[in-house]
Amino acid sequence: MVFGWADLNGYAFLVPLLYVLSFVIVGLFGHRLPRAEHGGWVAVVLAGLAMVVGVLIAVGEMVNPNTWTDTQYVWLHTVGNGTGTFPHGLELIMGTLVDPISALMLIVVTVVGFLVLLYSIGYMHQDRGLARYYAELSLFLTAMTGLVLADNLLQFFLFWELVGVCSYFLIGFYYERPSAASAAKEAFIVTRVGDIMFLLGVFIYFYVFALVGPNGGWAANGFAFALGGHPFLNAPGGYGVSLLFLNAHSTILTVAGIMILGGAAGKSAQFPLHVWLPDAMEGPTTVSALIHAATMVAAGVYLLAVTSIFIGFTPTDSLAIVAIGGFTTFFAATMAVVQPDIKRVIAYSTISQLGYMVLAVGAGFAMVGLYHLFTHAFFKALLFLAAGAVIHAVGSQDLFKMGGLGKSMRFTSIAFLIGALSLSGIPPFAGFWSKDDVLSQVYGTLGTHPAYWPFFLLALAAVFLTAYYIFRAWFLAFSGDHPRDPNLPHAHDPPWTMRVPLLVLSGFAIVAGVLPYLPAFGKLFDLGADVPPPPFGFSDALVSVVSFGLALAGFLTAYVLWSNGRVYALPERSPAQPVRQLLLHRYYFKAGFDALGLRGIYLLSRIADWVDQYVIDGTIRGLERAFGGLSGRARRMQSGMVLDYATFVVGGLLALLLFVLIVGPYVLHLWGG
Amino acid sequence: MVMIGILSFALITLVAGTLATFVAGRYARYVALGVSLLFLFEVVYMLQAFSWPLFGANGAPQYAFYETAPWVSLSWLKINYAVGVDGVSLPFVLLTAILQIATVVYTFEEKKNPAAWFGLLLLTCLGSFGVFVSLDILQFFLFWEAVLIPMFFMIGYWGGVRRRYAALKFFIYTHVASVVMLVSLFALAFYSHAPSFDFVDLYAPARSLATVTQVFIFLGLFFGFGVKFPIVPFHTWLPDAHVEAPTGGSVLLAGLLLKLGGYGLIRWGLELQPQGLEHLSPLLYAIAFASIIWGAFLSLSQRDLKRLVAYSSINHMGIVLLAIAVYSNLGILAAVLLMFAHGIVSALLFMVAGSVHHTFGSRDIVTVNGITPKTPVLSTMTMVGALASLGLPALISFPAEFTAFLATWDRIGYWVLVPLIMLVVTAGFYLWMMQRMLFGPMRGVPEDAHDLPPYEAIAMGLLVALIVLYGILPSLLTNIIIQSPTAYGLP
Repeated sequence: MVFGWADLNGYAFLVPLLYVLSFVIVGLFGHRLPRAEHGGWVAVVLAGLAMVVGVLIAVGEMVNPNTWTDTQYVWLHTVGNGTGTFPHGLELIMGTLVDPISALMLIVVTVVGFLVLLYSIGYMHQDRGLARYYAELSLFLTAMTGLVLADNLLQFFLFWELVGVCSYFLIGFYYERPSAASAAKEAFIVTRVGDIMFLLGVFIYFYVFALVGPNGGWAANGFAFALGGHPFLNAPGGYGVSLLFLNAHSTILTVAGIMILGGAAGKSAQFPLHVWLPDAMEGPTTVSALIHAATMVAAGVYLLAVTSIFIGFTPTDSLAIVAIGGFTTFFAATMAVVQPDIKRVIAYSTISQLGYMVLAVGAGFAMVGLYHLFTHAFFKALLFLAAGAVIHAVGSQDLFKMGGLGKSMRFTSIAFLIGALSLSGIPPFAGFWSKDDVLSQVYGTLGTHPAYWPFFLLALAAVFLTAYYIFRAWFLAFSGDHPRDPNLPHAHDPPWTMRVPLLVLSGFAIVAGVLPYLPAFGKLFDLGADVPPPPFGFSDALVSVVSFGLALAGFLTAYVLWSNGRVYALPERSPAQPVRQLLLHRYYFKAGFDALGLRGIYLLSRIADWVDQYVIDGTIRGLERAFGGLSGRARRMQSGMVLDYATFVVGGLLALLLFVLIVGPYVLHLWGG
Repeated sequence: MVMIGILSFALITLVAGTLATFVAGRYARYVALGVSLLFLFEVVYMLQAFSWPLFGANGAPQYAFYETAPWVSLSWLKINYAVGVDGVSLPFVLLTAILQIATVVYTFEEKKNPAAWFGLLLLTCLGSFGVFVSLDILQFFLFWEAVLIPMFFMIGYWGGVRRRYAALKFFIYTHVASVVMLVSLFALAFYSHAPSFDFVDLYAPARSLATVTQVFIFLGLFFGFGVKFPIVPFHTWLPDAHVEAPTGGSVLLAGLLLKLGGYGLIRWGLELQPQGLEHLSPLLYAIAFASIIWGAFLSLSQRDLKRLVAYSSINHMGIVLLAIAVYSNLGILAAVLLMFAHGIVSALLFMVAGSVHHTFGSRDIVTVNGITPKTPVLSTMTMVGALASLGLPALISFPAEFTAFLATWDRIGYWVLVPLIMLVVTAGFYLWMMQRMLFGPMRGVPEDAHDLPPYEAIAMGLLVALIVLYGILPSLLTNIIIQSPTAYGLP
């Protein structure tokens, strides 16, 4: 190319840097600006610049797909002295890596990030603490782009934790609300359980690869994802670990894979670490759209995809990933079916959709998983932002209070409808293409992996539920003549700062599915000669027809039960009531976590506290008293009676003799040995 | 003209400064600030002039800015004045300078007998500095004891309601430990028949002692230094001392005094009696795990902010012990880095506890709730401290804990799960504290409560800046730590 597009990779560090700049400016000076939203405009402008850089880098990757790494700085290094595990020392670096998939993620993060910030100007204008809000969002985007551009597992983990803490602060943005403070804590602790597994996985990979690295031990950057840099990566049979290597270390690599899965499950809210995501809806809707739908929760999938591409999973791991993903698609969708809260419906749907991505990665189709991640980011952000426009207009999240909003909020209702069509997988909307690809690729593996069958069927059944719950939400909110709650304020469509993001995201929700079919864009899904590009869509007509049929059936069920302002109430004595209660209580998962995890551990700590005070410290205080008593006795020994002294002298002599004759030789014997 | 080195010069600065502060009356705080600044400059000079000391021709380690002079010279006993630093001790010297200036600034408006307060404060730092640079047994021990006395008075005079009890408990505990330590050090010196008490002379003969001797001597040293750590089950003095100590005392206690134990164990235990350490490592691991678990669980049940931070120190120092016990190059790096990190972070958290106490009249996290709208700056400091302490990346503890766990994994594999799982509990109690004290509806907050006074804000701001700086660029410290015979000599 004339302009040398690939050269732009060297500027990749600018993306997180622009967000840092925004964080510092808004965080330090945001509250001194004349009006609160000025800080927001600073963030929007800088995020816009970051988006331009990010998209240009992605275009560069489309023109000239390559893997490019650079060391930004040495984070920590030790000196090797020729012995031990690190004979040449250990070097941990912070670097940037630009390759097709990080470019793909860069598009998602910078574009959705910019749109959400722009939307926030209108959405958040009545809130206090705006400087804090924009600073925290900027910090989040820093960490998220840092994660996407990470060139080694350590750096990945570092930014992974940082996005987690930003999520913590933003969930707890309305910190005066006890429920928000509690949800933030819950999110942090549950994901930390996953993070710890992730860290152990990092250690294991590090250890295993240190054994095979150059020089018999890794001299440099031990955690690098350098594609092609290690012998096991250039194995025949596509990406992943070579069979030889796999067999030699299969047990420990299986453990590592499970640990990575644990980390991904925590971040991407997969069963059984899914509990935090619905509660995370305590944060502002914009935060839910950016962090808890499009980017951070997808980081778990990205981690699995990166691990799958650069390292590979063992068959046991693959089955575990498929099982978790497949089960979660269905499990989360069932809970969405009964939710009265518009945001929580979408939250459960996010968990369910992330399950599809995990399923695809587990079945060996990392790029298909990322394909669904790509489309999902846009239509899910759209759904959240449209829901945000509704919440903004009517001041409530309760679907049963809404109704008839389609008349007063035509623009929003259409945006939500596009998102819903895309989510349920109705062609030609984006979600159809990627979901169909996931299902047909997994279907293709069933011949060789019959154990995947139940999880494939669960994922297929979830297609029906998805269409049902999202159209139930749409009908409840927008169809009918007037709101069911007459106290709801008169609703109107949002201002332009909120409409523009909705419009752009609607566009993506329509076309994102076919973008990979464009030759240039498709290069982002192509990882080079040794990794075959995945086929997209319609690879199995049967699966496509069945899933489309299921989606249609879900839509029709929702239409029959909920359209035109109808509310379908389950009869009191219906045998389905217990099921409904079970779903409303989220299978009692949260209650169980609270009882076991929180109360149980707290009880243990109370017991420990008692032991500390009365047993450990008590022993010491007892000793103190004993010494006091002893010294009293000793004082009484000075009795002045000759006979007493004589007894002491004889007794002392005997003791000395005993010591010299018995203890002494024993000690000397030890000494000699 | 007698040429003296930078270390002696710094010692003289602190001795003269301490004396001057005691007699400076109402100007004591300015004198103390001046002395702290001068000392900081000296330490900065040391940092930039510091260079790679390795082993000498005879296998003895070499030290930067090394100075020695005979002090007692008998036919059977030679005691030297000997000072020097290497990569292991220099971070602690830096920590001393940082905490000294931070504490002086934080307590700048001390009303109760300020001359004595600032004098004792400087004396504590002088003692700690002396411990970190001394390379002679007796000199080391004198400085070691010199730290004890001012801390005893700081707790006993400026402390809380039960200050007499706490001060005595602190003194007796650490004094018993000191005696055992001294006996062990003497045993070390006499059994090894070294030409003098100087570390450099002791090095080779001490390391070649019989294994059994090393085991017994190391055990004594471990007890002596371990009580300072503190290790479970000899830890109960710590929460009492912290709760009753004034804020400045707590900062130095957690930031410096605990580090004396860790430093001593590395310098005199690990370096001189390595076989003792290797043979006792199962015991060390067991105690480290016990401290990690016990500290984390006990923190969870505390409602006094200061007790919570105190117990979390036991948890963190347990990780330090673990990193020492793995006996590797990386382990030493992690241990020193973690002690430096903990020194700064716990100092910040104790300052937070102090400010909470005198802003709201209580440190009870159950009754003081939702303070953020009233005191946003204090609240931000609390968040940074808590997040740093629970090991958030980009803050100082993360590189330290990460390397500690990596070193542990390298040596004992899946046992690393013990400290890793406890990280969840650590996150739990800090987040719980934040949820209650910082967030939620405001309760137990007096109407006239106002945000941090300027001196306190400056002191905490300094620590926060360092937490972020070293968190992003840990190599600023690790490049120093690796320049030590200790770290280099290990596998």
